[in-house]
Amino acid sequence: MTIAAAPVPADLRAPTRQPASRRRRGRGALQPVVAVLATLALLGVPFWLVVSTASKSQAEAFDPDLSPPGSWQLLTNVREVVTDGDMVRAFFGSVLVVAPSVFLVLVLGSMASWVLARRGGRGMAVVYALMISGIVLPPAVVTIVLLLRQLGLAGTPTGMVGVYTGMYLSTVVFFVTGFIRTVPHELEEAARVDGAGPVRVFFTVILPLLTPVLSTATILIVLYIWNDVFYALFVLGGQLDTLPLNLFRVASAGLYLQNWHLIFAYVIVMSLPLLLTFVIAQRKIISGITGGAVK
Amino acid sequence: MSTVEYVKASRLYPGNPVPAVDELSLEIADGEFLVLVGPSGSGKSTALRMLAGLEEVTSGEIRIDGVDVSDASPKDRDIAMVFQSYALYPHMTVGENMGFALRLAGVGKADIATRVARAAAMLDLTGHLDRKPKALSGGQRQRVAMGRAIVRSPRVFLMDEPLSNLDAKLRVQTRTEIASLQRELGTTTVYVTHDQTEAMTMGDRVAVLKDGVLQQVATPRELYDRPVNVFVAGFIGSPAMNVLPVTLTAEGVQLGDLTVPVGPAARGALGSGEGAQLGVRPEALHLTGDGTGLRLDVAVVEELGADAYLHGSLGAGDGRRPLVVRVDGRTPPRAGSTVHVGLRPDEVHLFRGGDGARVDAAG
Repeated sequence: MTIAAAPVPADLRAPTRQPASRRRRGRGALQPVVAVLATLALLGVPFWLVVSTASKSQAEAFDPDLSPPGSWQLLTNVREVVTDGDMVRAFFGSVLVVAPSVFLVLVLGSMASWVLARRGGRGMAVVYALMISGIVLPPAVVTIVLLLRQLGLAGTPTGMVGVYTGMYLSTVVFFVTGFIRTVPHELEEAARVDGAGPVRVFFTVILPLLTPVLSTATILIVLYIWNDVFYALFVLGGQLDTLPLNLFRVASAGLYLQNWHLIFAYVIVMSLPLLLTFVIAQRKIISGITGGAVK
Repeated sequence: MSTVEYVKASRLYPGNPVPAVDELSLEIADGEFLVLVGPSGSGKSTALRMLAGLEEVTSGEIRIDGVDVSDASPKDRDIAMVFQSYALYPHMTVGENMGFALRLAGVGKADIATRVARAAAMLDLTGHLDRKPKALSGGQRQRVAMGRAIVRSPRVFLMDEPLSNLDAKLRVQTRTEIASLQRELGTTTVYVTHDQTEAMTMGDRVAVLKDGVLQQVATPRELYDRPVNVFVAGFIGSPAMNVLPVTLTAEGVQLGDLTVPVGPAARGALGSGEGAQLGVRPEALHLTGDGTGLRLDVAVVEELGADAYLHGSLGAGDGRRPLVVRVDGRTPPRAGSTVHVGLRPDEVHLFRGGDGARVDAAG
């Protein structure tokens, strides 16, 4: 992500240094323009490449470039990949892995975070460090696969869900623990006095307050898992097809060989659920959800 | 309808040898409004939280209706608490906030709605039931917090400085509202505040705490008229009581040129008279106008309309002592002038040296 320096507001500038401030004003006006153009180029060019190629005929798309398609045939291409590319089956394969993984990682992660955030002491700090060490430590793919084989979970959705849950738990704990520390203690105390046990306190008071941070985590984790080829290839390898694995399989099997228009159409269709997730989840990322709780 | 008893209840925090609440013994009658008052760190909030079940009782007992609840969890105590910060659930509407405890208790939806509506009507919140706390003003949030407690009809109300986040005017108004609401409902209430005015105006009885130790528990009138020690004397009343060092002589205790006679029992209680102090409230002092009495150099005149308070000093050099005198608000002396003040011997308080305990002058 690029961060453009905001221009200094006029009233904050020293009034005595006219020439310098005029120079700065010139630069200040230029900065946003440059930033916008750079962003457009960075995001726009690949996007255009994907959309235009996905809309071309096979002959036009043989050698992908930035030229516009002679005739737009995006829908035809999409129809072809969905039916011939076995996308529906692969879609359900992906959902079968992604949905339980995200659900488990969010629920288990926030439960663990609640305890980690609320209990003090050195022991808890060590546990917390262990929990979030997963963010920096590289996952050992070979051992994971061997372990899953021994457990008889290799090639099963359960094994895959376990791997994803374990991998992203650290991320969720890291995000959510920090957030829970900002939730006032009194809210939990009020709930306890109102007659709630720990489980009730968590599900009726803490969890609803975590909506913004859990939405952010959902977007990130769905993005990672939905697009994941690497771990899926090792763990599921041929037993169950997710969308990216399916693309890899059908593309290398010859159907899409040199068929860039179909590959890009596949990519577009595959991205739609992500887009939907983003649209729904980002609405929940509203700051100040605890507003009005205290004071 | 319930009674509350603290029986030598203490709260000791790990790693701190001094208890936050030290062997508190207190009986609160059914329907009584008891105020716990004290400066910061006096243990008043801790004492309340012990009753709520939010703080562990290290030793001793807390009884509600004669049953020891020291080890019961908050949800099993049938108490409702109003927090200083209100602690409203931000993701629930006002109505949901108020009905939350009933919902947890498994009360039927229709019943919850009726009870919430009734409480909302009492608190003038009827039009706001569908709003989120964020959309409410400070005063309305405070009333929602009250409503959450009222709806439950609990055995005891606990209130932890519920007015401290309101502005001065609203605080005075809400003070009366809470007091009259409590009289109407007749629910036993324990109220914590650091504001002695709140304590005096609201409580049936007031318990004064200092450093975790109960100093005195009495009616507001008695606290004001017969404080048991120097601390209570200085804490209750605004402006505070003047407390001045005195010397014991053959005639009584001497303050400057004035002598206050003391009886034989008081003389015995004062012992050598070492460290003895005399307390006199600003309104028990008066201007003599004829040059007799204590000479006071007036530094500041605080005019409050009906009354004025003279802030000045007695004596000279190292022996200078601050003194506050209440005078008629229409004709106060000017700042910088010198006046003479007299006191009525029956309105002075004597405290012995050492523990600062009260000694009855006439005794």
